[in-house]
Order: sequence, then structure tokens, then C-alpha cells
Amino acid sequence: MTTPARGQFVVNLGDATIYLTVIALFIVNVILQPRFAQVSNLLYLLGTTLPLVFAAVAQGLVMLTSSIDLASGSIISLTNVLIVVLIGHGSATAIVVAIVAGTVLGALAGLLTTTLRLPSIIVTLALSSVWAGVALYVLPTPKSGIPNSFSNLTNGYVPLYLSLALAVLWLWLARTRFGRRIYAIGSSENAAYTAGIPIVSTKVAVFAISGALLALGALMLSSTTGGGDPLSGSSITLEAIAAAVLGGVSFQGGKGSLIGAIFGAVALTLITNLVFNTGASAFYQGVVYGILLVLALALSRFTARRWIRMPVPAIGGGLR
Amino acid sequence: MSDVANVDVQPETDIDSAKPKSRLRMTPTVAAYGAAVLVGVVGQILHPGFLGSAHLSTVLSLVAVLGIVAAGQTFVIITGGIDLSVSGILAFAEVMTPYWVQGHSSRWPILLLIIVIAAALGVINAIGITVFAIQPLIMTLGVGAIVDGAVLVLTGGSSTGLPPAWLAHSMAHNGWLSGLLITWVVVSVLAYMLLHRSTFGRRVFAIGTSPRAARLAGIRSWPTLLGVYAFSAVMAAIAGIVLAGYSGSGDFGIGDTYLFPSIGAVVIGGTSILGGRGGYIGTIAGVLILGVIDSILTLSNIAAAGRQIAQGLAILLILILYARERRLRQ
Amino acid sequence: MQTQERIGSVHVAGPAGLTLTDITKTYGQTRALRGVSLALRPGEVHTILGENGSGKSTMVKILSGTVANDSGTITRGGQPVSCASPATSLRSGIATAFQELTVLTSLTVAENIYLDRYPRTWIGTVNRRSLERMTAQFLDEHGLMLDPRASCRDLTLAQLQLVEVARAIARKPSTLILDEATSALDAPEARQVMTLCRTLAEEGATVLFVSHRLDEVLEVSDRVSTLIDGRIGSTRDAKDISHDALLDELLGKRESVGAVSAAGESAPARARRTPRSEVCATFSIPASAGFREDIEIELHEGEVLGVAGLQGHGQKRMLRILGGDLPDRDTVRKVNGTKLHIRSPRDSIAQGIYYIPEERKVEGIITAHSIAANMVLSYLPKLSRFGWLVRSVERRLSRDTVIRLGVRLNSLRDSIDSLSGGNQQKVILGRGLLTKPKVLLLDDSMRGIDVRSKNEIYRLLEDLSESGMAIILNSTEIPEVISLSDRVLVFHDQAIFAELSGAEVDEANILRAMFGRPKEHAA
Repeated sequence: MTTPARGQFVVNLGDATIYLTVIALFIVNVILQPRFAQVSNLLYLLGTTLPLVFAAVAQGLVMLTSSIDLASGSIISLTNVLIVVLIGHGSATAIVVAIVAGTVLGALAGLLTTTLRLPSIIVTLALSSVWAGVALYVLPTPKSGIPNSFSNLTNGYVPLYLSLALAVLWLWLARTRFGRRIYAIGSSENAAYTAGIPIVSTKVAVFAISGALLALGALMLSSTTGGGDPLSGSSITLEAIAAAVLGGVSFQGGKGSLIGAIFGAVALTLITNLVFNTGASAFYQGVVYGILLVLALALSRFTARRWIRMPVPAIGGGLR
Repeated sequence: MSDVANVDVQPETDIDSAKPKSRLRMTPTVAAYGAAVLVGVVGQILHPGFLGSAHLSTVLSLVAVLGIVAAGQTFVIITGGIDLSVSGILAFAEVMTPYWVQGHSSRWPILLLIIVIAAALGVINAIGITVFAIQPLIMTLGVGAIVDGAVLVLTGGSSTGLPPAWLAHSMAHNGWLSGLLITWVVVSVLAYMLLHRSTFGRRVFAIGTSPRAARLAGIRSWPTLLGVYAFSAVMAAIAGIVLAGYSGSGDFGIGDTYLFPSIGAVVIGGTSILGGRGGYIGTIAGVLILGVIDSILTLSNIAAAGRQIAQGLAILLILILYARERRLRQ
Repeated sequence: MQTQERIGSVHVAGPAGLTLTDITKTYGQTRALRGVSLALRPGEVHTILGENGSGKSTMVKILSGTVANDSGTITRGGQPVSCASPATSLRSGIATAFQELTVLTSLTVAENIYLDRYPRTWIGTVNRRSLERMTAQFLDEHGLMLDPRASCRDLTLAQLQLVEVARAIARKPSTLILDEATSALDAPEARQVMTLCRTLAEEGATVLFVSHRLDEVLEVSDRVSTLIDGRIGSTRDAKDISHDALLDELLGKRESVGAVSAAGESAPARARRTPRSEVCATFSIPASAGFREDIEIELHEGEVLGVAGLQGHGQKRMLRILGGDLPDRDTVRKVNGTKLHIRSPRDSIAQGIYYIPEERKVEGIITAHSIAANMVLSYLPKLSRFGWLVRSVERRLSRDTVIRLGVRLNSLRDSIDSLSGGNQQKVILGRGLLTKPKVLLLDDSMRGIDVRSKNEIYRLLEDLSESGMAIILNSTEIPEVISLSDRVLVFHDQAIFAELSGAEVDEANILRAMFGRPKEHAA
């Protein structure tokens, strides 16, 4: 029974897993390295994770409509490069152009997928090559030159605020009509269509928002690295997918929360840190998170159908 | 035997030897070969000597590795899946072959070991996909990541950089041919035979075209999928081995340069990403097209950036064309 | 009708009803609608009565915007009404509760009923409390016993159907279409729905009720139109007709059309044989497998058992269970006395039962394969020598089968796409025959096949049964069932309603049973 009784709300075990996992990982990290729990350390880590957080949320959003975006890393690379190249015209210009570019690139993928009825997997795969090439063309070698005002974006408490802002934004969006449409389309595109929900515009908007988020992630990246690198996004695509899936976003669409995606990104970072702390070579990182990904997926078949009941906290819950 | 009256059937001798009427219709595969020829002509125009035997042989050798990887990928995509672990497996084979062979005189057992490991990885992929119902994209992604990491762990991040002498020698050019090219040809024949002349190939197409019809006809999908993913992994390993011999770079990221084009070649060659129709013959055309485009751009001194853009655009173009053709047919 | 609180839905409440003029729709070779003209009135409950294949669902799809009609117009009061897409249909005031439910199971009842029309808070999010309150009020007003907060995952089929209906009603449409909306409901719930129909009609809406339940039909309707073979047969006031009269009309119209139908014309009416005494197979399906009662079938050697019924009444389910497509652990199958263990179609085939599906395009042919390859698909293990396909055997087998079945083709190596529907079906039949089954299950497999091929297949089936093969033939075409079967089981409401044999097998009895009426005693 998934219906909550009065004074209760139900949580999907699959969703809960990621929160529990993050907590567990955190504890293990602290045990191995007591200084891990220092606020400054945590904030710093969060700052370096921000690009992945944004990418994971972007990917999760697309996945909710049962699509996939294999071009996300390339969009980050390209917008990252644009920022560094245009920084000479002023920070504001660079930021605006980057965000607009990201939105357009995302929307393009959405348009090709919906109007031409092409599978998103191959459309975004092809686009990823195109955008990566453009990034290389615009900036063949990494370059620095990001002013300090920029770098402050990922200093201090800002990463925390940004993450919270992202989470709050999602909590809001998921409860709007637009958010409900996203879940409806992912759940059953056919039923949603028959009920009069506009499929094309919603999907294109989702891809566009995803692109904007990716551009913001690139912004964070510029901030932490202090420059631009045409290959900056190359590994992020797959990491973002892993983060979203770990966070409980279903590949089939219509299930999962982007808060989970945020936590998934955090989990990946904690794992990296863990590997680093055990003194094992950094090379184990890839192995570990690959195994984790596969395990999480295998497990998700069982956890996805199980639910746990919890008493309602004062704010009230229910809608994911 | 019932005698069904009023039926006009060709006399017995005709129907099985009669020429299939659709042989030379404009299938995507035929179109792909047409495009390959077109692109080759463009290359010749822009750079005289392009189609000359010396240059062609180089181009062919360069695409041979891609062709081998794409053979495996073809099978996987026909069944409606995708194999993202080929990059890791290729890197694994490419790095571990010289790494393990150095200091050991026994070469074949090492090669065999690498291939067996690859096959096992393919089986793991298939298990995740069939038993745990994990999407092929993610499962192969995860396995690929594991293999990538494992390679780093095993070698401690350092590679020999040099291929074992015997391997380099067998892969090198000998006039027009090269060991690499010959390997590709052998692989191609094998792939074709498997796909079109074996019961396994029949099942591959059946499952990819209509899993439901295949099931009702009594076909179990999991053994076939097992074979398909194992085959893809083995192809990736073979590609890595011959690459180690040909260019011996020991570059850990080498797999990525073949992953995306392997999928692109399959799609350009007419195999639908959704599964079902297609075949390796088309993939070969796709491989050739990508190789020729790349070569033209290199000769024209266009940077790697341009080549990447061109590859992506080529695939997009093909997709759009195929989409229009599909729509018109409906 | 007034529009209430702003819930984001606006409809057109005009004084006139919808008028359909000469609507046609053809799917490939099948002409589903051949010129339907109907003038609906505001404030009436109008029922469309028709059998399988009459065009009912196509009509619903066109009005609801899911499918576009080929020609003809839809107007209201002289003004054209757009049904180009589901969204525009809804805007035109047409709301539909579909036979195939469009309820989103991951959402709650309230979220489904007011799908995409939620009350909003000042920050634009869905106002849950307001939504639940609204829904509770709505359900209360309309006498529907549902919990607004319940997740649709937990609901029974009947409850889901109520949600589907509730959603349509909640749109306050000027035209409400209910497509078999009571099929899963119990009597009291069905009654409630019908009461709602009457209420809505009294408020000025048009309710278009598509149903096969004669009792309901007459009780709730103002007028009844029969839909026969894609055209409106008649439209009459409900109070002027009786069940029998309606059935007679469906029968009668068909009798005149029947002269053109395949089985009636070319194949000789089957001399109804008494089955041979040897029982070759028995099947026991418990009610828990999705039926109202247990099902017990005894098949004799060489017997052709016909199965008939309106769509969705359980026949298909039974055949799929028997064929291994829907494995059911509690079903007992015995062939020649041996108990079978079946978990998949592969097991069935290995143990002598072959299931031929309905939709050959999706469930039958492999488009990537040639004709010969399609033919031998179920026979692959026997064709392989260490994995390699022995082409000569494939050629021989497919050639022999193709000749035996009279498949018209150019070459065995052509793609199966090149064949007509009838010939494709013959290939699938041939595929099954190569496995030498003892029991052949045909699940409405002859849809959309040309007359000539159908007759050839009929003759083949007769030959097969002569040679001892038992055949279960599920068909929505009554003449087909009559001309081929020795015995007929008629399904109604997820159970076998009647078993007819000998002289009882005629159109009248079958039709009655399909609609749940007991057979006439005076033949």
C-alpha cells in the first residue's frame, strides 16, 4: 500500500537509499579522517562538486521525461570555453552569453528529438561530438584568466547556498503544473498526450532548462579552475548519469526526485574522497564507482517497489 | 498434403532460386555505400592521390580498428541495446597486451587470457541486462568504468608504450596489406557469417526486430543476448590487441576515440538505433565514410576540432534523412 | 452550465449538440468507418451499440482527437468543431473516458481527476489541500466512493475505471464520451455511473455512451444508435425498443451484409461433426487467473473449438494462458494424458501447443527476415549444425510449406514485407505447423485478410483437423466461427457464458450469448 494514512507519509525505499548511503559514506569518511567533518573542508568539497551537482540535476531532469542527454558534458565544455573567451567583455556578458548558449543548445536537442521523433540517445550522442568539436575550435588549449570576483562563486558558504537554492527551486518546480507534466510524460507519454498535456513544448522546455543548468555548472567550473578547458566536461556526462541513477531517478522516466540527484553527486564525491583517504591509489576510484553504480541498479529493482511509512513532520510531505 | 486449388505458385524450381525482387532497392545500406563513394570522390578531387593505393591502404588500416569494434557494436545495436564498455575493454587489451607480454615468452596464452576476460565482461553486461533488467546504456557504462579503473590499478598508471616486437611485426605493412587489415577482413567475414549464416544471427535479428514475435515463436532472448555482448567485448579486445601492435601507444584513454565512432558507423550504415534492421555490411560503409571524412579533413589541415564536428554532423544528417524517409513511407 | 472556481479549464457550452457528417476512416486496407452521420442532441444520453469491428472505437478516437478522420465534418450548431488533437478536443468541450484507461498510476486519485488543471497557490505550485478538498467535494457530489489521497497504484481495475470516468466528468464537458466505461464495474457502481449520466444530461450535456450491456443501454439511454460495419444502422428512441429487437437488428443487418462475407460465401458450411471420442487435451484454468469462474475445457482429437465473445471479455486471456504467453502456475494442462509444465511459449511449442497471435505485424512477422527465415523461426534448433544454419533444409522446408499453404510470392528470399496480409498469416501458420503441434491456438489471427486467402486458410484448417490436430479458434467474426467450429464457447464478462454444439451453433445464439442473453429455445 502506497497510500499514506492520516499523519503519515510514505517514502519509497529506492529514494531513501541514496540518503542513507550518503549518510553512511559521510560517517565512514569521518572515521577515516576526523578532519573531514570540518566545515571548511566540507564547503570546499562542495564547491568542487558543484559542476557535477548541476550536471546531475540537469541529467535527472531530462531522464524524468524518459529521455537521456549524452551531450551534457560537451555543453559544459562549450559554455565553459565561452565564458573564458568572453570574460574580456565583462563578467556579466560572459555569464549571460553562456547561459543563453546552454539553453539554446539544450533546446536544440529537445527539438530534434521531439519534432523528428528521433531517439534522444543518438541525437545527443551526435550533438556531443559537434559541441565538443566547437569547444576545441573556440579554445584549443586551456586558458586561465578568470577574475577573482568570479572565483568567489565557489568560496566560503556560497556552494552551500547554491545547493540549497537548487534544491528549493526543484521542490518548487516539481509541485507546479509544469513539474507535474514532466512526471506525467515520463510516466506514460501516451496517457499524458491523451489527457491533453502538451508533449513537445514540455520536453523542449525540459531540455532547455537542462542546458541552462549545465551552463551554470560550467560557470562553477570556471570558478574553481580559474580558467577554461575545452575538455572540461568530457567525463561529466557519464558521472552525471551515474549520479542521477544513484539518486533514484529512474531511467524509464516518471520516477525519482532531483534532490536525489544532488545527493547522488554528493555521494560520488564522498566516494572519491573515501578512496583518497584509504590511501589507495586514485585509480581505484573508477572501479569503485562503477561497481557501486551497477550494484545500485541491481538493487533498485528490489527497492523500487518497497515503501516505508514515516510520521509527518511539521511541514507535511507526500509529493516527491 | 492438401491440394489447395486455385493457387498460382511458381513451379518448384523457381521460388527458391528466383531473384529476390528487392535486391537492389534503395536500402539505407546501399545509400551508405553511395555516400562512401561520393565522399571518396570528393577526397580525390580535393587531394589528388587520395584514392591511390598507398593512401587508401593507410586509410583502411586506420579504420580497421574501428571496423573491428564496430562489428561487435553492430550486433548489440541490432538487438536494440548499446555497448559503452567497448572503450574500456579496448583500452584494457591495448594496454595489458604489451604489459603482460613483456618479460614473458609465451604470447598466445596471454592473448587468449585477454580475450577470455573480455568475454567474461561481456557476459557480465548481459547478466545485468537480462537478469536484473538494467538498461544496456547504464550497465555497459558501469562495466566500462570498472574496466577503465581496473586497467589503471593493474598497471599503476604506467604503461610500457612499446608493443612486443612480434606483434608489431605481424601488424605492420607489407606492401599493400598489413596484418591489421587482414585481421579486419577476417573479422568481417566472421561477423557476416555469424549474422547471416548462423542460427545465432537469426535470433539476433528476431529479438531486435520484434522481441514479442520472437518470444511467441519460441526463442529465448537471454542466451542470444549473452552471446551478443560477449561477442562485442571480444571484438573490442581484438581491436585493442591489434592496435597495440600497430601503433603501440599504451594510451589509457584510447578507447574513447573509438567508442563514439563505433556507434556512429553502425547508425550511418543503416542499422536502426532502435534495433531490428541493419547489418555489418552497412557498418563497413559507415566505417569507411567516417574514415574518409577524417582523412580528408586531416589532409586539409583541419584541426581535430573540425573533425569531431564533422563526425557529429554526419550522423545527425543521416538521422534526419532516415527520419524523413521513414515518415514518407508511412 | 456555469463555470466554477478557476481551475484552469474552460469549455464551450453551446445550445446545440455535436453533429457528425459522413465521417470516414480507413486503416490500410480496412475501412473502419464508411460514412457515419449522426446528430446528437444536448441533454440526451445517446448510446452507440455495435459489435467488434463495427467501428465504435474508431469513432471514439476521432471524437476525442487521438486519431484524425479521413473525411467528413464535425460541427456544433453549424460551426466546425476541431478534434485535431486531444488537447483541441478537450477545448472543444469533448471529454472522454477511454476503454483502455489513461489513468497515471504514479499519481494520486485527486491528481488524476484534475490532471493538469490543479488549483494553484500564490507561488504557482499545486495547492494540495485545495485539490484534495475539491476532489473530495466532487466525489461526494457525484456519489463516487474513492479516496482522493489514494495512490492509483493501489486501486483495483474497477476503481481505476471510476477515476477515468471521474476525470472526464470533472472537465464539465458539453459532450461526454464513455467508452465501455462500466466494463469492470459491479452492478451498484455501474448504476452510479449511469445515474451520473442522467444527471449530466439533465444539466444540458450530451452523453455518448458506448456499451454492449443491453440492460444498461436501455435503462439509461434516451436514444440508441446501432453501428454496423462502419455505418449507423438506425437511431431510435430507447423507449421504443427492446433487447431482442436490437439484437435482431444487429443480426438482420448482418445477414444482408453476410452474403458478402467470406465464410458465408465460398466455404461450404461445415457439417458439424460430433467430436471423436479420444480426448487429446484437457485444460483447467482457475478463476484466480483473471476470470469470473473456473474454466474447464476438454478437447477431442481433430476437433475445432470455436471461441467467440465481445472484445475484452476474457477469450484472449484464456488463449494466451493456454499458449504459455501468460503463464499461470495454477493452470493444469494435459495433452494426451501427460501433464505439461509451461512457463513460456517456448515450453508450449516443445510440448505440442502452438499459439498464433492476433497482430501479425507486431507479434508475428520479423520484418528483418526473409519469407523463408520467418517460416522456420520456430524450428531453428533443428536447422543448425554446430550453430550454422543448414540452408538447404531451410529452403526445402519453407518451399514445401509455401506450396502446401498456397502462399503467393516471388521468391523465398524476399523480405516478408513484400507479402500481403493474408500470405503473411499463412507464413506464420506454416511456422507453427513445422513444429507439428497437437493443439493449434488461433487468437483472432485472421483480421484484415483478403477473402481469398481466408478461404484458403479455412480449407487448410479443415484438413488439419481431419488429420487429428485439435484447433481452438478465437475469432471476432461470427460467420467464421460458425463455419469452422464443431463446438463454440461464447464468453461474456470474463467467463464462458454458453457452450453451443450441433444445431445450436448459429448466429442468433452466439450473438445473444455475447451480449449475455440466454439462448432461444425455439430454434
